[in-house]
Amino acid sequence: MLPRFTNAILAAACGLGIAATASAQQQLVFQNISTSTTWTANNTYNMIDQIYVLPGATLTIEAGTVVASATNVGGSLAVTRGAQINIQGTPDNPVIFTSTADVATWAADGSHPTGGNPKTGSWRAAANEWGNITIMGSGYISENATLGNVPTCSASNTAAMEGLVAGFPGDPNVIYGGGNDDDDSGSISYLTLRYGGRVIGLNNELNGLSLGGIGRGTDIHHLEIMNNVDDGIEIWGGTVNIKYFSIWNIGDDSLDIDQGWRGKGQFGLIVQGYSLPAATQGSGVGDNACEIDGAEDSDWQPVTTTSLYNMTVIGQPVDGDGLTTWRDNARVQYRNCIFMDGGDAVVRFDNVDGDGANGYGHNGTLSWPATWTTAFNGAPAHPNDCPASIYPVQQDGNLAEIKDSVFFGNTDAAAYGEALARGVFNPSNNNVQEPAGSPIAAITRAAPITVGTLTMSQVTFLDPRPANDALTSVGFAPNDGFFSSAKYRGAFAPGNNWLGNWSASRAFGFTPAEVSVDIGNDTTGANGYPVIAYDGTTFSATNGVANGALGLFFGASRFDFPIFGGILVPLPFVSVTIPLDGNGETSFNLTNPGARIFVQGASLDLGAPQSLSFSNALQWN
Amino acid sequence: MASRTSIIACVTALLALTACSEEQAAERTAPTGPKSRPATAPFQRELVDLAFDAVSKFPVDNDLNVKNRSRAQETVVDAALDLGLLDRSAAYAEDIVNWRRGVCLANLAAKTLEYDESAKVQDLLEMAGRIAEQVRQDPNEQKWRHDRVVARIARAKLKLGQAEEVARMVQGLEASEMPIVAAARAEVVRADAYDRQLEIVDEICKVGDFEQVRGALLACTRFFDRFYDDEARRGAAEQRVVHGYKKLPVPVRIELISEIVEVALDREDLETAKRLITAADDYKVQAKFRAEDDTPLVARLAGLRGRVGDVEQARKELKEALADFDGALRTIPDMFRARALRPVAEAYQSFGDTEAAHAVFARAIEDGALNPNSRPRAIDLSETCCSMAKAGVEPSAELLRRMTQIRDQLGSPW
Repeated sequence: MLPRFTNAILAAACGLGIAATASAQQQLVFQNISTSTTWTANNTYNMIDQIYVLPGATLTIEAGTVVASATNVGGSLAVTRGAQINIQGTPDNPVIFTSTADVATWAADGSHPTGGNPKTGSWRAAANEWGNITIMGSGYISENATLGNVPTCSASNTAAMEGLVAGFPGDPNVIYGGGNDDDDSGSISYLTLRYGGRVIGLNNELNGLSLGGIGRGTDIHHLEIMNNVDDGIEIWGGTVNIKYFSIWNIGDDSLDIDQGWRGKGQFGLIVQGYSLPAATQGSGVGDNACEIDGAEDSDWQPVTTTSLYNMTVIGQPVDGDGLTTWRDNARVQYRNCIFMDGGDAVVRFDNVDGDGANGYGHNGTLSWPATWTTAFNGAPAHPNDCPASIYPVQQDGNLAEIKDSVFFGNTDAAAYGEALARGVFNPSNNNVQEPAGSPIAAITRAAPITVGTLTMSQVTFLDPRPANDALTSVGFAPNDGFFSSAKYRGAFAPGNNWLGNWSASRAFGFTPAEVSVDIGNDTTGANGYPVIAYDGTTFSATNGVANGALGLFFGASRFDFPIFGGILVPLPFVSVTIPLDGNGETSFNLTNPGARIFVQGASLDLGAPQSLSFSNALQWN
Repeated sequence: MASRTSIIACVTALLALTACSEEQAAERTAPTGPKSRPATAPFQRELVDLAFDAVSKFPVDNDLNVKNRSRAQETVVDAALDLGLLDRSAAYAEDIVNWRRGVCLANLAAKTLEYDESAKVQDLLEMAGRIAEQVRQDPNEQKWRHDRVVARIARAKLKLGQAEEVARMVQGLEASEMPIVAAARAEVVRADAYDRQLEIVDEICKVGDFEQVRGALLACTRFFDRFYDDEARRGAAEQRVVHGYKKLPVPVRIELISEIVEVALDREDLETAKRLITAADDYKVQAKFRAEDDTPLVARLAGLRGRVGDVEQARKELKEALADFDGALRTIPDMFRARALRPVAEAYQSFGDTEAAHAVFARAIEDGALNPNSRPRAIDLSETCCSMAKAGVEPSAELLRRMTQIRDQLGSPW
């Protein structure tokens, strides 16, 4: 860590809390951000302290910006209630938060002649090298440790964020929670966080991304956490929705939820592993893949109630923990997912979280079995019941369920016991248990090694696109503007990999290169949306309307179609219509015109040509 | 999709259809139709314009700024509609660049109907409907935004007597958007259907989610108003609000009970108003709020208490609330202060302490200008302007100069 007198000199020199070092492009960040600031891609930023974005300020980070904080110093970013963050990464130019030790592995190329190409690098068994990103909002939470909090839904319930140090009693900079589920903490797109988790001043560790009481006005998509020492993403209460997220080699729980989260999630990849070479489970070695708590104590409200669609969850075959772990009245619907290679139960009934909570059935709440058989809107009345609008996500089915999913390679003796007891494999759920063929295209693991006391076999290559039973599904998510009606299982469409060229997994060679990137614009018709893909030569479409047609629009940016609404840029575009076969599929060769282009497919129902359903969108260079 | 240009043209054409200007309306002394637009003083119009100017200075260079700008602009349109400033509302809506324009146009349609200026309502609803459809087709937009526009259109159509179409329109709307439709239904439901409506309210209160319960109880506040002279029916509606609301978050409970207190006050039924205020007081034993959240609740009830004649108690409560607020000032970020102070000022004004109201508004203006970023400063200035305009508190020349200065100083960093 830089000596404090150095900080003082730098502060006196510039007065802004940011100072250029001898390397003209490195900016040291050592003061809180009280005025709205933009971090630009022509600099790298090195946080050398816990940095707060203070209420009223917005931190904007341009596409392509690298925030590489000094290794083992613990520089970290916290966005307070009332502040906003605007991370503007793109499929080609993500925003990267990492450590200087990571940057040192980046190679030179034509665009980076002196090194520092963020699309390269070697994976290291490392974590805890810098801090994390924490965002605090004003959504409802159910936290029971703060004096004065009450067990009903109350705007008065707040909590201090773990890992942050209050400057004084009641310090608003560390507080999250409130009564505004529509809260807007900003936007995040194409963000990758690597090797983090170090906390300053506490004997503790940080999650990769901590979200406390974040409201649904916040937009988060295309997010990656690689090699964090503690949890990957942890969410406490609130209603924030997250789409396209990858959590890989996490040292504790990959996705950890508590205190009544009521947002939505879709297209999530979890790959369990370890982040440190000599560590214990929960502090460098992966624990549960999805660890979902209902409330801080199980009779408090709101209670976590959500639907997670299109998750691909890949465990550790020998010593991994649960793939889905359930505590304290959590109510989760997993649909259209892949659960594979688990080293423990696919449904792990953990009941309580070890902090004094009382688990399912406490104080008149639904029992664990009853939660699986009770309709999403059928929970019996309870004195603490939230008026629950509060619970907008689940629209049908039961409060707890796993449907339309594939379970593969889960060979632990306890893998299916609880799932069978909960009726997960009842025929009506359309789940597939241990089919002959893998539900993903390819996976390669390193030889098993002992990490701490556990046997770990890291995933060294993954083609996460679906195969066999995952290529299609019976049902699909509702088209509600957040969810996409993806008619397949798992987080990836056939023929397309949204990890594309922006992620650490691609930089480290864990996932294949893509000539096209799914940029996530999609809506649907009654058949689910057609999946379009392009491998550089052949263009293909699947899951369209049988004997229908596919309308394709080619343009130079994602905003150039009048059908999009929003920003209208009158760029030229070309449209073509291609017939689909009886399976709703087609393929043809397409010569890439050489320029960066964008394509969006539209399934055109010949019987009702006025009804267009647009598919997911691709972008390639 | 209709282009932005064509929508603007339609709105502009609509302005030409306005029966009379807001200034002319202000000069009216007697109603000439089913309901006249309320008279507004020049300072009220000036304040609303200042409010809109302030939030329209947001840049539109990225999605986040567009979201912030549009949300704040919608708030000003709501204030203008409350004041009956239809021309301004239409002009303001024209400047909103995202889906919230649809919400504003539909709200404008509903408000226009109150003044029987129905010739242009259909045009407004069609424009709002086109925006809703654009939102529905836009892969980047979330469903609730479409639903919010549709719910507002439905409200207006209920007032037009198009109940069957509304029933079709609102199928599948998110629950969070339904209360406004439920409340509108309560205003037009046939009297002989009242008992059945109450049964539905009871069912919703048993099994409904938060927004459904809120919507049902909001409908009861309308029943309370419509059937005020029918003691049995009024009592039944009051009973639902009082007993059905207990599971709702405190701010929502205060909102609902304040609604029926206002109705009682409008009828000069002080006894009922007092009884209802007492019923609302119990929130304090259920939760301990941070000062920034508690102050507006105390102020809301104190204002009502003052209006039923207990002015000294109201002043005492407001003074104590301000003292608590000041005691906690260190824990209240500057951008959250004005929002707590405005209700205090409104409360003073509600029982005639205009001088005190002005002083608290002046403080809100200054506290709202403390943040070094223009985003919270613009929003606070705008919301304080709207609050003053609606409360009818005229800023002194000095305060108005200061407010104008704050507006003129808005700029980067946002």
